[in-house]
Amino acid sequence: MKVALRINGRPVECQTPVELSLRELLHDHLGYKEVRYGCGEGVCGACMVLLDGEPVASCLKLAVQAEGADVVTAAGLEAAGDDAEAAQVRLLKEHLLARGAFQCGYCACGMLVSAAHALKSGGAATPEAVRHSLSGNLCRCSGYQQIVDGVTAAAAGDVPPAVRFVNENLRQKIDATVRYPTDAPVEDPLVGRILWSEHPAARITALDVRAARALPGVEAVLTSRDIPGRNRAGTNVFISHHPLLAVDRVRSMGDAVALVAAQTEEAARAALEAIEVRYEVLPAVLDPREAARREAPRVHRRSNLIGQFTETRGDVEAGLRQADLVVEDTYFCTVNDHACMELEGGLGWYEDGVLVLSVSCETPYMAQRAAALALDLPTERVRILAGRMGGAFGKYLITSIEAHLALLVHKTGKPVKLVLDRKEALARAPKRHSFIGTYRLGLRNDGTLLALEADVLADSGPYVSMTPAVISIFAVEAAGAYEIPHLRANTRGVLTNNLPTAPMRGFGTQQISFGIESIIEKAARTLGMDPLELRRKNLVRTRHDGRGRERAVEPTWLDCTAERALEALGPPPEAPAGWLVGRGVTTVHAKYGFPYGFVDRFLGRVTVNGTGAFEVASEVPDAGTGVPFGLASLLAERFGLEQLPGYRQSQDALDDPTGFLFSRGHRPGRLRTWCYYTIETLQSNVAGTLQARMADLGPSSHRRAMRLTAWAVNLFNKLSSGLKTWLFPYGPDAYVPRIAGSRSFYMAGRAVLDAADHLEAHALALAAQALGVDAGALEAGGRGVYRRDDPEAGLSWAELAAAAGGTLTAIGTARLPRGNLLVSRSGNQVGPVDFMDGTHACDLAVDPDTGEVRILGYAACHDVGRAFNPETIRGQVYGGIAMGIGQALYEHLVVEQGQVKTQGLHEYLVPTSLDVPGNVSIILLESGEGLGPGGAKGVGEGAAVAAPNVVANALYDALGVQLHTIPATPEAIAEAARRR
Amino acid sequence: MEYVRPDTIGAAVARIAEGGTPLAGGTVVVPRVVRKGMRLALVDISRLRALEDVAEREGHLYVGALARLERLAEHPALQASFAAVARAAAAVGNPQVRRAATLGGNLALRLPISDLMPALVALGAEVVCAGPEGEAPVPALQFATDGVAYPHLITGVRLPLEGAWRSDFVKFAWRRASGKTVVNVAAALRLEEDRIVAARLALGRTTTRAPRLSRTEQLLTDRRVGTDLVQEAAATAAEEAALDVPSRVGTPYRRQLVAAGVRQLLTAMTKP
Repeated sequence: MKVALRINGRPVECQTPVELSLRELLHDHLGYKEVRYGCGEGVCGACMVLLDGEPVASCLKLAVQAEGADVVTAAGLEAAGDDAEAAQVRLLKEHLLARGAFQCGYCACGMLVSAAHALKSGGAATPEAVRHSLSGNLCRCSGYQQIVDGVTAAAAGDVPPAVRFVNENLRQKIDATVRYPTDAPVEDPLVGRILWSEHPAARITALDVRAARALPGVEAVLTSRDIPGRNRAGTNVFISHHPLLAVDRVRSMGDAVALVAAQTEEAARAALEAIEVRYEVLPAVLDPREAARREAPRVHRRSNLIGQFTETRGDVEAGLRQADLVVEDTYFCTVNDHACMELEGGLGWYEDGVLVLSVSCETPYMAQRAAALALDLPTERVRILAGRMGGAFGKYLITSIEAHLALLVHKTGKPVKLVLDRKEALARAPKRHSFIGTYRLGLRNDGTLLALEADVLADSGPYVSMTPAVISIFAVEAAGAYEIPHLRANTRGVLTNNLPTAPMRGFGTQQISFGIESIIEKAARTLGMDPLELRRKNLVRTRHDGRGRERAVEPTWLDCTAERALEALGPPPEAPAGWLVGRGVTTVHAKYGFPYGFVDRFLGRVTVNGTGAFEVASEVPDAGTGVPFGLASLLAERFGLEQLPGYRQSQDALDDPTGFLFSRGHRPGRLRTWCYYTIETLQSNVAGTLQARMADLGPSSHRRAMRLTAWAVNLFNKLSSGLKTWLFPYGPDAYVPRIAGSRSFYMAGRAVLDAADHLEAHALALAAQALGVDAGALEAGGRGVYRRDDPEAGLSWAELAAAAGGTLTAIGTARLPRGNLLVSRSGNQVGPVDFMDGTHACDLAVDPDTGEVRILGYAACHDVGRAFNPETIRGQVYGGIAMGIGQALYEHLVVEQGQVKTQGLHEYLVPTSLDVPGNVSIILLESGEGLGPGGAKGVGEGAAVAAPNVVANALYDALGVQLHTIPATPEAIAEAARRR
Repeated sequence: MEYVRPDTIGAAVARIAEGGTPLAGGTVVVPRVVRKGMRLALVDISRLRALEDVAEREGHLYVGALARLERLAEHPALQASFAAVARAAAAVGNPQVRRAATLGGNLALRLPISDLMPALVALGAEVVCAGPEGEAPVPALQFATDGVAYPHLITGVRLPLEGAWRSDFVKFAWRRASGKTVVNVAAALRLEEDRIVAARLALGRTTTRAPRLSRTEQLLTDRRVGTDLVQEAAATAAEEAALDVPSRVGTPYRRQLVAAGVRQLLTAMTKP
């Protein structure tokens, strides 16, 4: 049908099929990429536009219904109204920008449409009104606080707060000029779709795609037989046994069976229906406790037990005997969805013989390798565009959809779009590991912790994925923030026919922290002791020294966060009559960075161009965590620059995982490349074999075996990593996924500072030569290099760049302090590099009739080491708290018989602006004790780890009964209130 | 796929009689078409401005089927005389959904999905349906439980302006915006000083068969208001509530919510 409408003041006429939504018309066909997909059902608000002045979800309108309408997208807001309205929109943007209100920015455009309308229509008079006006716009990163503050301030006409540097990266997101992977501007791509498994466990007895291939408009139907290269998905860090497309068996509802590319959505749908699959249903194992038993049905031919770590210290039996009180219990975390606002997948096409994939990924070169291996192409024939993405939270550490997309593009030779819809993402994509932790904690009557025995099980789903790393963190962090002299933590990962897993914000730290915090809380309440006092009495007093050895530390900073958080929370507020009131505290001492012994290396590049402008480059893509802005600020501060340097996510490094191109400007030879991959394969196989063999042993022989193998593993690890370092001095190491977690800034920042040092040395040498003086008499600063005794004599950065031949460049590296992978004495995994310390406290009220929870007050204090961009860090903390509250109370994924029953974001309850408290106090302490640049620490995960625990502890206080599972649904809370 | 945008109600009704599906706010129909690939003959009625009226007619407040829920939530006439309808409208979805969704579209979902249905049942409203034979009012209770046998277009709702009725509505959901209803309850009471002389209570989410809480209504009738009565009514409501719609939520909890809903409504409505 023909449709004529005005978009951002411009008349547009086009032909559209009836079944096209207005959102699809705007985003996919007319190039208004700020109108984004998030749910397709009006819940998330990512697609909001003004339709004849009213903000509406454009996914709920058919394009044909917009006939004659006036449509304004976020990009057109300023031009849409009169001068006063335009000024108001500009002021709004300035306020949001100054507060660092958005992180990944995917929701920003829809949010701006709602906010601008609220300003105009009087819906922004108070923070509460703003929260109501924005309650149809979901944001997964920010926790809403800075957005609400910004909108309220703009409504009041306040002057935006002053900032030292404008975050240009964020400005582009607010101005609607950035593109996300699913926004790639490709004309009429084919529609890619995945045929998923119909059973959690079944044998495929017949798979016939002939009828589907014969349908009109269908360009390709692919099964495992059509994969030219390796049929492997997931990560190859440990064991690589996750097929891209099922061969003869399906092991979960998340298994892909076939791929389709068609000219239209309708044809793709018809093709999926025409594929004939016959299954012979097999017994499925869905309970991880069941799966751990020897007689349970096996998910693969080998044992279901795929990893086991035993952390021991002292003598736990003796410790428990000496204890005055022993508390026991079992705690559960159910699976969570990352619920990134942007959906996984993207677009792919061929460009000059190179396969280009525009997809979300945290570790782009892993996606590149996955696609290249599937197609049997050299990696340089695959290019990943992953400058930014709409949220990550660990989801993209497990790769599969990029290879699916690559297969379709390769087969058809045409551009293809393969993006999961929200229902698919919830029902099929990897989830956070569910957790079952059984604890025995012994303590003295005075509250001194003596012994902890923990038996922890993680459900890995049908494939190993990153589970060994997650359970190693379970083991290392079993004692949480506390000094416990006698400890035995046995952590296991098992295969089941549930959905595949991917780590999520904290890499296991969240689950293990929930376990220890819950048993500590129970101990305190059983003793009748103040839970905070018990915690402060036992705070951790040792940490590692950078080589894996323990050293004593005063627990002052951790203790200080406890004191400050409580102080900020203040006296308990008023609660509605008849409601139960509770206060909770929790201490977090969460790791960031990889455990010792893993190779972890980052690169950074600093460039000064001919105009004297600085640019910083690293491989870290922008997932919204603020790393690009952080690195730029760091460099600006290092040289005292007036202008913030630009940030570039460097493609060079991903084109070549050996890092040669990035550092030397040319590709490595064939021999080197071959060596690199051989070592990598060896490392990965040894890790896999080790995992497999250790898992087959019983716990006691397991410990002996670990001790025996520790030296061999450490020696091998040292030799292979040494060899790699020698062959590829700058090579990022593919042994573990590199770009993820709270360590990104810590590592990349150090690399950038290292590069800055090299750059400075080079600049000083150039200037010394030009000026004919000793380099010692010169000083590098914001303007360039000048004489110490005469600040007017010297060379500007532009002149220095010219002297260097046009550009001045330096590369820097940062590596993890390298020690043993395993402790030689005990065979235990050595702990991680550094910790995020903090305390959260909250007051809440519970309606015993309905189980409704209201958070009345919330305070968080974190030791961040050094705060380069306090607003960015606050944003991380607010966002972590919102995610944690969601995990504690709302985000319940209903899984029955291995099948997800939760249909979309109307049922998977990501908190809205009305569900998070509006009075969160955040205190940032700067101890300078972090190992990052300037003493900075990781911050991204700590708040998300702590928040579920503090809510659970406060619920315990309110109800007088402990709930053992998060999320705690209103039903469970009401039931507990009845038992009270 | 077909799409027509008739200019008159009569033309729309004729297309619907031929098997067409009415399309207005789009909050329900558009996801079905776009996401689920359903192929429908759509009759876009969203521009039939005559159906947007809210006006007093013949002792009734007439609300047109195309009145948006956002407008209903804020409408002074509804807030004054039919608060349950305004509250139910305000409880739906989120701002953008309420801005798009219409009264008629919500009612077309019937029980157990429609949040407005129990409010209309409690208020003794009529749903006006236009079919090939012309327009006819259908009692809300009948509409909710039995539906309308012939193809029809909901053109509006008639709310009796009998005076002295107070009404209210409560919805329990697990999130404050875009929440999916677990249990909802609507109540209408006629009070003479501190005596309840007539009561109508209705459930929505849990039943398609018997939304009225008749035993509770009887219990309340001709009784003096007070805490004991509220408790008694809540207990009776929980006991008699029909829970014929399956749910992931357990039965005891659903009954507990029915009791909580009745308790909250009666407490608020009988406040002097």
